[in-house]
Amino acid sequence: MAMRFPRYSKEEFARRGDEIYETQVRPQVEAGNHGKIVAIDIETGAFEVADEILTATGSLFQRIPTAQPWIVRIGQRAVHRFGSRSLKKPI
Amino acid sequence: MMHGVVNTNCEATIPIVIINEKRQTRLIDAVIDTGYTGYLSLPSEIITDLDLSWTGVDRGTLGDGSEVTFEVYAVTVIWDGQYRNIPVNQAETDPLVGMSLLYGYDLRIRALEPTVRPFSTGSVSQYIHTLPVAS
Repeated sequence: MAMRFPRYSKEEFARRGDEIYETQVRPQVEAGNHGKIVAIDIETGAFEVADEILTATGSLFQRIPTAQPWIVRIGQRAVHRFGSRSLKKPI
Repeated sequence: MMHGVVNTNCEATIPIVIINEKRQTRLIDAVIDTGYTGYLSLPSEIITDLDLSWTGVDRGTLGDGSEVTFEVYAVTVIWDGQYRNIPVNQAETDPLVGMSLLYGYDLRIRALEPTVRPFSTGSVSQYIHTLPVAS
């Protein structure tokens, strides 16, 4: 398997990922999938939904081996928390 | 059952074996962080040394409410004697074990006087016990 590596800065991942999620992905996945993971290729907009991160990204890499995945937890601002509760503001 | 220790810095630590795709292994001591909802965080030095497979970027919320983006890698760990494939957040701190890896286990910590011999077989009361919960 070819080694995968990011071709964009983390800031660019967040910028492109948020834009694609809000405009293209969220309307298709939000209903009934709260708390699940969606992995979005920020270059093509292709995405995969799964219960776990590695399942979602694995499915995306199977379809698009060169994918650049931005990972979102559906219905939440962040995938994980480090020592705090989630922010109260809606996304 | 897995065992760890509360170290002299008052951290609850547990040893974990991590494995890369070339079957190279490394034993690390990770700090149990119940405020971290992910699986495992590792610093870039370990990720680079083991040449872990990059799998994407995600967002986390920190204790002060701020947001940070993390590189995410895939790794295999030996957890309770079994291989598990889990995502890793790259974070420049000591390795952290989060609640997603602990999920399904009964975690007991006796935070008493820290031991100065972390891996001695001394007082059991200073040990962390992590037991799977029967479903």
